[in-house]
Amino acid sequence: MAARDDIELMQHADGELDDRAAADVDARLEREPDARAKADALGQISELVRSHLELAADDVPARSFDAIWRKVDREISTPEEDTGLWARITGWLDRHRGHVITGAVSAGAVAALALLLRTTEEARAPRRGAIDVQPAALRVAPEIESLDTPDGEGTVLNLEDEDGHTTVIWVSPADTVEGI
Amino acid sequence: MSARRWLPVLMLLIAIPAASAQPTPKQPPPVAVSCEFLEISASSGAAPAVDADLEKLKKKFKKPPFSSWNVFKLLMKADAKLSQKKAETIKLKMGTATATLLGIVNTSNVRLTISIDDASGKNFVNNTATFAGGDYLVYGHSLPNNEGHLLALTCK
Repeated sequence: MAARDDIELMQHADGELDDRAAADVDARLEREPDARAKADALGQISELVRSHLELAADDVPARSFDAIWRKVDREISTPEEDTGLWARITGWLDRHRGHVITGAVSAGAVAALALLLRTTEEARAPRRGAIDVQPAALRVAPEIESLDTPDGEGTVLNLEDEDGHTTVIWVSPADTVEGI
Repeated sequence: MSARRWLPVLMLLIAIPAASAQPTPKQPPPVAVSCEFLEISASSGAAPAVDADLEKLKKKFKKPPFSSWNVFKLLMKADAKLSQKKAETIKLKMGTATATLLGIVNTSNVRLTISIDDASGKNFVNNTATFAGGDYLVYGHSLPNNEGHLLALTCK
């Protein structure tokens, strides 16, 4: 019961009671010294808190309030109809910043992947300017397309072993051939 | 469709063709091969001898027509880079060789022409051949003093 009375005292001090309840509390304060002491204490505490808040508010620089009020005014005022193309673009980017970043990261990843794959393909491309020396067993026999020996006879021999082919083109003087 | 969906899709549509676009066609590097020319003298001696630089040909020298000699000495060694359709002259101890790369066949074979003049400047062989990289072509002729003069070449 005491707790409820204390709450009524606080509501009375804050002016939150209706007229009838306020009259009851006033009557109670008249007849109960203890209740009066509590009400006085409540008034002192309220004053103390109010003074502290006022001091804290004084510590906030005036320009901070100005900035806050400007922001409030800007947000509640009607947006301007035409603020220019650049402003509209930047505004749109501000509103969709997350999507732009997501798209850019995705595009970058795809581009990097494509470049990586293309580099790999280029590395696989056959080299020009040099020949592939295959193992001896895979080499094909040499092919003599033409042989001209102006003053003699040409003989072509193919020596094949585990090292590969060795094609010998031996030129014998014409008179020697005739001698044979 | 909201911006949340179409914006990344749009950026991907721009990025994929840009990244996969073919690079500006570059001038292909000239076709060229590296060839090694070995000029060799062959003779008969009391003891067989083959220069260390001719180790890869040592086994071949035991077969005809080389088997009539047993001493093989390296007279000259030259490395030449042959470019397609560009004649390269190799000065020999006894003559001159001119090699022209005609092309590379199936990435592993060399097609070239060789023309060799003897020490007196007389041309004694002209040949066009296709052979595999790593294989040898050996041109040879007998000299008057029962010696042999060889020119071996291999390409890679």
